[in-house]
Amino acid sequence: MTLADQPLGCDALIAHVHADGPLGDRLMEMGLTPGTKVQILRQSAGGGLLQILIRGYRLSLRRSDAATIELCP
Amino acid sequence: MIGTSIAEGHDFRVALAGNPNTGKTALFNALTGTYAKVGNYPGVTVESRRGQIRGSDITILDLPGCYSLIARSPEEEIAHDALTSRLGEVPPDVIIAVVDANNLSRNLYLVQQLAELGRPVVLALNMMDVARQRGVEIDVEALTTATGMPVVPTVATSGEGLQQLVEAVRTARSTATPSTQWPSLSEDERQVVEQAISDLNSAGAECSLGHTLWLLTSNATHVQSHWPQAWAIVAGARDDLERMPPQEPSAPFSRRLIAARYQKIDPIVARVVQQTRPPGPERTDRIDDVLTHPVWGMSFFMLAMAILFQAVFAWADPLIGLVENAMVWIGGVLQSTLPEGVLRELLIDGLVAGIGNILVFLPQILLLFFAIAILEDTGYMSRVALLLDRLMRRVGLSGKSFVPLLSSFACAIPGIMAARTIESQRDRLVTILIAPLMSCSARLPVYTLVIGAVFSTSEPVLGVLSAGGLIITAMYFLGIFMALAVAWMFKRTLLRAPPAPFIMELPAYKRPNVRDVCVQMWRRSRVFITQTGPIILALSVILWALMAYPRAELPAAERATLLETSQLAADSAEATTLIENAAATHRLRESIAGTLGRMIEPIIEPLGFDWKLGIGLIGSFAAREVLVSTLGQVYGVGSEAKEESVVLRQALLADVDPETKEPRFTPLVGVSLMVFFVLAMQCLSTVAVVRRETASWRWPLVMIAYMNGLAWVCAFATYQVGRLLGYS
Repeated sequence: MTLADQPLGCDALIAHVHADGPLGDRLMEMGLTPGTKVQILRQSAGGGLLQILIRGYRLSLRRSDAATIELCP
Repeated sequence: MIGTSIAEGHDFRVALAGNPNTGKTALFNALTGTYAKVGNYPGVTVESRRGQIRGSDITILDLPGCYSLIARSPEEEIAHDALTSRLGEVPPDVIIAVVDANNLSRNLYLVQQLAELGRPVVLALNMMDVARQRGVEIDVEALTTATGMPVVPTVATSGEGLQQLVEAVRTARSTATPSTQWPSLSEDERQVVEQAISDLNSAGAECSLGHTLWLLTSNATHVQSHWPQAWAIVAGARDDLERMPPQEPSAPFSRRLIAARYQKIDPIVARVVQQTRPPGPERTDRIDDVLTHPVWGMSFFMLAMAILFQAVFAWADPLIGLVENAMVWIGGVLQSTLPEGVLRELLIDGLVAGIGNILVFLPQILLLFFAIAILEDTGYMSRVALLLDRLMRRVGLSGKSFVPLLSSFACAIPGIMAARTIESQRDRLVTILIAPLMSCSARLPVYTLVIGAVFSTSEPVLGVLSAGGLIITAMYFLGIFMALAVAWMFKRTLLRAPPAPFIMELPAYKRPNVRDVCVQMWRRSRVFITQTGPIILALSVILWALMAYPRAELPAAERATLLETSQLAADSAEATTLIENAAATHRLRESIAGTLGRMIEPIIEPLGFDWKLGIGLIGSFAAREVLVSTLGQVYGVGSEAKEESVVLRQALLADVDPETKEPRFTPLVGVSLMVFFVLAMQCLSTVAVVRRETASWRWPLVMIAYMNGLAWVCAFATYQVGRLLGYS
């Protein structure tokens, strides 16, 4: 189950960031590390953009990027 | 590199580092007052903000906000280089790490990287007022102990804690070199890294922990090519780290390092931060419910933009009038005090006109940047980037291109410089290339002149909207539409790249701080003056020369004919004016500029322009708005003519083709002229800035070629299709 499939408003723990190269590095540097709690706050009209709550702040990212983040079951 | 002591006797230099949206720049403004110097980092095109802490000998350097020292955008590269003395300057004595107290966890990531550099760091725990409001309490002492660095709570917008911060900075400079702060690596990993540091030091490289980690995790080719000696030393260590049995799940060392840093941070944050009140629904989220709503959000945005543009262009008018009057007055003073001759002409028509051309836009530019600064300071801009991301993605860009493009409506130059925040190099380049298509302030006088001449008597459309207003709006939309089309084309051909990831922090909404907004407005406006000023000035003088020489006197025969047909008394004031204007027109026609105008006539005739407009076009290459005063001279009404000048409009309309006896300046020609101006690249100052921002001549030339080609084709299409449809 990835962050892209997570229903709104529910907490989940990050298991692993699968994205390659600079994208994955950047996601981790922004705080999306294994074991961190994450929640989807809202999504854009077309569903393409997600706004998540991570480490106490709001981050927006594309659904395609969120799909590379695996969550703990 | 390390080990600068007071005994060395150089200045006390401090660098300000931190994440974006932490109030770092507000802190800088508060510490330095308004006397900060804006310049360029040596050899690089990113702006540096440098100032003196008020009432002290400390120089403070404001680094661009960054989330990590691993550079992903040109701005972040600057932060890294400035801190590691790659810019050829002495590295700072003390680093002030500005941290958002509401967001400690992620902010400490950068602080950890800074601590690894081995230089004294002082932590400014900023935005304490917001934290208190939200019931967040931070144990400052515990944080100090845990991080090994002095922590000072501050509120940059009110000045709270600043004195203590400066004292802490002084103390930090004189204390011994701080102990190295290691991220939570495994024993094995730590051993390899320690060995690498030792090897590098023995080889004379003197590397901090931070720099060593950077060598061990950066792109291999990059390290090999830039630091071959260091590469030789660390290559083995890099292999060891990759082959190490991974903690699960497997990841390259660079990822494990990032996790290791957070592993160090998490327990600290847990120990130090306390939520004393249960957090209710955050104000920011409730506002976002509206402002990022698919329907309400977009509506609010459209409304905000409409108000913004209306305000900018309406409120700027009286100020523009002021500037124009001032210029006329100065011109008048020079006219009466200086003896007649070349010098006087040069000063009035070259220098004063040139300065006027620059200053006349300042009101609009100041207002637009004021508005943009407010939108940014409140945190709304990032939401706008969200709203527009979908549209931008259709052409291959991202929402991040929005602010540079919005700024370009005032002047493309600060807009182009704002593109530095775009991480993807290709996206940045495309944004720069299309920025000039956003109709800048300088095009407005052209639109105003044309509308005033040929459309002011038109019937209102739908009984309410003025034809002129509609046409100007259409011109703006033409520019936007073309920009998106060109962006799409570039991203599919020359500048192909997969869509860049869009990862963006959404800061909490806050009340805008007037001082910070004004400083930001002034900073960007100043860029406009310093970048365009010298060039426009120089070109105005050159243009004056081109239009003034060679000097041809109005032949006596023509003079006589003119007097006869006008039936004015030979010595009357009106006759004198008439003769003077005719003489000016004649001089212009015989000058170099006039010859050029006549030379290009074959090229512009299919667009509906004649040689008179041709001279105007040549003039407008100095600065677009020069078209108006040039046309004033060409049509014999004097160069002080402004776009609202009734006399100039009448002259334009009265101009008749000697052969066909048809009016030359028809509505169709007017529209064709405007279309040309929307799309043509005429501003040489913009070309100069693009050259600097892209560090080569290739892209400026591409821009000139594609824009002027597009302008010609579209004006051609407009005119010819108009002719086919029966207009003249």
